[in-house]
Amino acid sequence: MTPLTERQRRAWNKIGDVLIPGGRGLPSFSDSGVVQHLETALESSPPDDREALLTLVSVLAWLPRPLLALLVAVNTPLRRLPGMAGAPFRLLDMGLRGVVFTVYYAGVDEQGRVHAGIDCHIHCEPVEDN
Amino acid sequence: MADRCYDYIIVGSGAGGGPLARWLTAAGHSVLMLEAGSRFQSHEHPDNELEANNRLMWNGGMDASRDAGFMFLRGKVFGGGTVINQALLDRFDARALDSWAERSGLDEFSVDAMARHYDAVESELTLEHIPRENGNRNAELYVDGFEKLGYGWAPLRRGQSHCRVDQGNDCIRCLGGCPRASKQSMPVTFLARAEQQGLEVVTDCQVDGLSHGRQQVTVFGRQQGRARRFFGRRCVLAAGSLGSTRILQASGLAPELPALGKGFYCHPQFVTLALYDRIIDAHKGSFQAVKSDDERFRAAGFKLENVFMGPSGAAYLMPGFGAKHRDLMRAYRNLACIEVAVRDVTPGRIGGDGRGGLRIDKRVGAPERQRARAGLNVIHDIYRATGARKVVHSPVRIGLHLMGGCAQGRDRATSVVNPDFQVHGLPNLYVMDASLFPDAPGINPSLSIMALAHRAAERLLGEPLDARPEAA
Repeated sequence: MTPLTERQRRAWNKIGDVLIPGGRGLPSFSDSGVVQHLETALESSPPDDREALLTLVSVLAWLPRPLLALLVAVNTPLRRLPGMAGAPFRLLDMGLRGVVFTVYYAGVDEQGRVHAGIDCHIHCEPVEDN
Repeated sequence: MADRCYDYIIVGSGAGGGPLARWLTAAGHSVLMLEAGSRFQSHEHPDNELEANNRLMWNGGMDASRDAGFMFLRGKVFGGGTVINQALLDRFDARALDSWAERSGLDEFSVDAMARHYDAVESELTLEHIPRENGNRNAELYVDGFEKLGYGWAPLRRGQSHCRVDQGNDCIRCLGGCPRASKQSMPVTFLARAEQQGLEVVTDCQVDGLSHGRQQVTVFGRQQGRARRFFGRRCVLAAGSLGSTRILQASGLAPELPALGKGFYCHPQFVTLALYDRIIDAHKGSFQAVKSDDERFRAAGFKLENVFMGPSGAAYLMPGFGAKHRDLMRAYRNLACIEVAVRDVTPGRIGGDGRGGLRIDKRVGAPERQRARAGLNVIHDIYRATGARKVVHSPVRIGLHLMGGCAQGRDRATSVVNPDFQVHGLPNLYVMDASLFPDAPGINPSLSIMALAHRAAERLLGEPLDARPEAA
């Protein structure tokens, strides 16, 4: 996959901050630095789907933040529409919330602030195969 | 390997392909296994959800139905779904098998007939009922609610050998592959034995199609961008419901197989999260320890699962965004989770999207909505009885048990695979995975896929196979 451009990273950071504004001990999406891991989240997607999502995010990032928040809020009830009527809204949800939340909450931020902020510590001692 | 003609090619390395390879190699046959995913040593499994989704699952864990109403999680890794599942291993009951017998016309689908296949598979695995003291507070709450309301529950039986939860290990980690080789996934059980017995494996090789001939089957694939071709006297598709169906369709066999792609089921899951004023730590220790065991639920077509997920999964399953969503996630340790898994009866359909990918039509029909409502009503009662402060319903529908598409049966009009696991009319081509299922059983399918693989091995070899004399 081609690495994201700086403009694309800024777009994702803007949308990410709408979804995860930070506060109360948690960094905002942009402040966490996890945008550098977005390629990992996107590289398994079919190329056409990935390009469509990147284009959409680049377009959405032109919107002012309050309008972006309104768009995501309006998407919430619309994603419950049955059948193909709800499909574009559910796909938008997967592309935005799905990608942003997966990257942010995976615990891959360099300083571990996100998992520390939600007090999540998962441990399993590895064992080498015989 | 180039141009060699194996006795068997097996496509896929999960709960169907793994046991089959073990018994075919034990009988002295040359077997080549092709797996689309990569191979990991246990300690190399990803240690976070982002990497796990990317490296162990098809499409990063976001396979969707055509209307995006379902998200399907399926393994793309050596060991298949058994690497990313929870290894919850239950036998099918008469309710499930009698339905299969009726649909397929096969008497082999019965509790008595399946018993020796289950015995054989279980003799190769280490199975443990999760002790009550190993259940975390999410399990305690589940049990507390069930007992207060008079519902039946039971400890889960899991394929595991040395999780050492008492030493502080958290089993939620093994949703991304078990780093301790404790979870009884195929690579540490059947596949390990098969390789000792001569199984050859090619990973990172996606099969695009096949050509069935009188003497052999040619399998076409791609490995790291390079076209590959493999030859086998017989080929067994064990690539899962979606994978095996896709390969048959891509090979141009749909016109000969009118039932191909039909009858897709997935045990739709309706996830709820509840917020408590006390620490629950649902992600700690044996995060799945108990199950519903109530004939009323079984008859009503649902089961309730004591379950949880990592922070990324919880965040996506929770609706909303912004400050409110952040505040719920800050209370991650105060969250409990129970989900309804519905025994679906509205069949879906697997087809192609015209670009080489899948198109999966699957909807939640009226029976599924009714069953889900019944289960959710019980869950609300449980949460109320145990002091939950807030209940959240996830809008995301998940399908983890992907079944059907190549149903087994006698009638070519309604099945793809005959009683001997051969594709109808194609004597050198077989299917052995959950795509064989005639309908949804309402019980975790993994153990039964392995048991069917034992039966399939007997049919292929033409002789009964005894259970292993001692446990693994």
